[in-house]
Amino acid sequence: MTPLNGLTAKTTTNQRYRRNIALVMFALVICPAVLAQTPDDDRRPNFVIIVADDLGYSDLGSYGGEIATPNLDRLASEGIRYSNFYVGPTCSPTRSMLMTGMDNHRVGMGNMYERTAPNQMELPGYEGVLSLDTPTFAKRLRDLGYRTYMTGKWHLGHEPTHIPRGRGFDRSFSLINSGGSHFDFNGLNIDNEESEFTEDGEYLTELPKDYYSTRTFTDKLIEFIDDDKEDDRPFVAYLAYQAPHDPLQVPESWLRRYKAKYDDGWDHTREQRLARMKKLGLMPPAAELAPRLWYLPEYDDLLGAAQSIAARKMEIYAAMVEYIDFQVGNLIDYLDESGQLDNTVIIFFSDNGPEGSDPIAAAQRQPNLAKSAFYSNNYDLQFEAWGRSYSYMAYGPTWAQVSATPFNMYKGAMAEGGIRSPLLVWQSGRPVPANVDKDALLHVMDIAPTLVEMAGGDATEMQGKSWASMLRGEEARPRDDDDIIAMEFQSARMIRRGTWKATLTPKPYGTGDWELFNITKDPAEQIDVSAEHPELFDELVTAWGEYAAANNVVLPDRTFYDGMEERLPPRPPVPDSWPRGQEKNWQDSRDED
Amino acid sequence: MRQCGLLIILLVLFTNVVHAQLDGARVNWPLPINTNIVTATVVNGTANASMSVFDRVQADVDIDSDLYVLSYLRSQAILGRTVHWQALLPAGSQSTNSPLPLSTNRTYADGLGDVSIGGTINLIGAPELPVREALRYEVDLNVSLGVLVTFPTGSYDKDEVLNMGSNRWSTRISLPIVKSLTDWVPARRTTLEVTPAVVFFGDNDNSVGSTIKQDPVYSVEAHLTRDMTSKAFISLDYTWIDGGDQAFTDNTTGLSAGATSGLGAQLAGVTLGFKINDNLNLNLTHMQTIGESSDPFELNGSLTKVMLNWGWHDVLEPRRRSQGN
Repeated sequence: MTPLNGLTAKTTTNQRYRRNIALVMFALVICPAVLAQTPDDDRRPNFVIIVADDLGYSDLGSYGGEIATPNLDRLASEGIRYSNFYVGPTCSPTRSMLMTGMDNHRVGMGNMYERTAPNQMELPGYEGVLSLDTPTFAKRLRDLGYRTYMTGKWHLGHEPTHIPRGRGFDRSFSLINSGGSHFDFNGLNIDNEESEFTEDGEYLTELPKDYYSTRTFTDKLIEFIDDDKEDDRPFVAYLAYQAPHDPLQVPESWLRRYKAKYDDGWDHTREQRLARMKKLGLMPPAAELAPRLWYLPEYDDLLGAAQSIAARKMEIYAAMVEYIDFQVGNLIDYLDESGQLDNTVIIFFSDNGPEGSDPIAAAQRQPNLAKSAFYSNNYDLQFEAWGRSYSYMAYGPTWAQVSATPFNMYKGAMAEGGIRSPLLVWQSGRPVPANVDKDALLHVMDIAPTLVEMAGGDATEMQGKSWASMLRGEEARPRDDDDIIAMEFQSARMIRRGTWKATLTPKPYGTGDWELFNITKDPAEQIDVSAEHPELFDELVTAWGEYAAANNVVLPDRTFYDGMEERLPPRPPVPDSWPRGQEKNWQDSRDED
Repeated sequence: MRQCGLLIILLVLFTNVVHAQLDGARVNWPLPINTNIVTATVVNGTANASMSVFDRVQADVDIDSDLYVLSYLRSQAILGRTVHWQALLPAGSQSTNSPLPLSTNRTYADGLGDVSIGGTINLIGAPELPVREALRYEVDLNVSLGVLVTFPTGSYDKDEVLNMGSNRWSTRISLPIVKSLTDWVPARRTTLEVTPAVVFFGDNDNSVGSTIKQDPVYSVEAHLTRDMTSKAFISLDYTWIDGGDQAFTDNTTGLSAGATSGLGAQLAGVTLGFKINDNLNLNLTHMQTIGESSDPFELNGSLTKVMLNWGWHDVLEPRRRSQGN
């Protein structure tokens, strides 16, 4: 038996050796996944990232808005609402930073592809699609063993390699374009006459029955998660609502939900919102509203019929926002009832400030242009149709300023109204030190590294600052007073460091020069204090230059500000006696007189 | 006397149009308060009816009517509801191609008709509508109550059957119902409109020596309307009328001078409506009796109506003038 045993023993050793080799090879081949799934696999959280499109800072009830958003307010009350969260001033730059954790000028979205300037054409970083060289958080988390889902608006490229399936999402249902009808394939404008949709990498020729963007995106996400509910791996779900981007449309039964609720007008609504924001601790007691833009009418100056028409716009917008909340509630209910809400992190924010431009008003001023005819040919523009599936309406600058309360400007601008977003972070089972966090200076670039780090990966090469330690309660904030946030869009520039913000806003909305604001005391950016803090001012302007040089910023030689000064009424003259640096306040004071 | 009574029924039927007793399509939509509408209506009607006189004589009669109606409507709010006040003044002429039994030689009558005044108050669906509310108002189901009183003010000759006036009071009570079947958006609107109504008549105390008592006339008017564009619509119209039995009493003897049974009639037709500008609307209607019956009292006739509405609003009109638009 010994030889046999010896033979047997030798054979066994050889088998073990071969098996060990095989195990090593196996481990090497599937190394990332294996490493990622050990040893803390069971404890890694699920992530649900919910992005609204063109939602204003003050629209949610938890941020002072009068719109009913009970589900999001619940996330706010059980989680944390952050008051100093920055996003890009427009859609695709923000989304590129969200996906990669990198500055948009580095990852192909130095400008929106729709607005790429002649001197930016063909330049690296200005391709108008999300660069394939930089992995998305979806790719990174998938490599770390996560299930990855995406539904909603994409707007980062439409080639097969650029759509969600090509960028790391296992399952996806997406509107590829920047926008369009919320009910069908009808496009956003003459450059996007028909919307593109994909599902799991396939380009769609039909939409699901009863398609409405907010409803369908939510339903699809629930469907994807539910299909894999037996899968033990954690998931990351990116739900990118198209609402409340124009055209403002809601399901029929929601059309009249806010009827007559905005009859007091934009000025009054802004005042009420600011008062609530102060009560909520989101704004300092001394905060004031940014003045109504100089070319916009006081609501009370409108005749009753005009007020009705104007108010109807906000009624539809509010219904869209509430419908988002309703669907967020459905998603949370599903996760809760299916036992998947535990160990989940939910993040909610907006991709940029509210949309102040009104393409229909512009089209109606120039009815003979083909781009104008697109709207009348493809949508019903009548007042009576507003909000319906076949209509197109945008709520314009007056109501956008309401959504951006108390800030100056709206989407597209580097003023706070364009780039400050509500941010809700909810973690199951985690006690929150305070419902409102006014200290943490956060940026949309931070989200990707946060997800990667919390999933057990390495996010150090990303530019964003991970919030993982902050969310675990290990540190108060990811940025200290010396860290900066800087951005550029359409030649408008901003840099924030601590409580200070320097901004350059082209004319006519700005002075065309750098200005300095104490953004904590003056969130509406009305009092330029650059003369009082010249050294600080120079430091920030210099730091922005360094940011631009380091991040491939090429200032455009054509922007949407071009010619605007000639098209808009001139600003009212400011008397010499008025305090220097506070010229923007002059309009309001004159109104009050 | 029966032929006299039937003629009156016929005249009532066709002059119903004049007296707004057939409302027409889309006339019961709620208006913003302080809206004014002046309407000029031209009606040409021809009735061809079999008549029996004392159950012995049967003759065909054609009555041609050329009627002109001027009306004024104003919308107001009462008790928080939309109310439309209305006054109508008809005029015109009627003629027949053959002498009427019991009449003198008269085959032609003209002059003013009976004045009608009334109002319609909304019961369901249309609270008072200031301009700002009217702008965002959408019809779903509207139910109103209408009362229209007709006064015996028209030209009348007691010795003639053919008259423009009716020499009696009448009161019409109606319940206009408008149901929107689609979105309330111009160029997309479709409505079903149904108006049941009853007309109560006072006595005509002297018609060729007789007093005429008439039972109520019942009617149901229906319109299926559809926008063709934002400024034009089409309506399929249908009306059913019944009732109106008449009894004649000889004024000299106090004895019965005969009776007629009620008149059953159905009319169908089409209306085309056009919005010419912000003030002016034009409606064209043609209706005719339908159905065949052995009943010798069956009504057979047709009418064509051209209606021109000039509307303005107390507040909006000066503004439009000042803006030149």
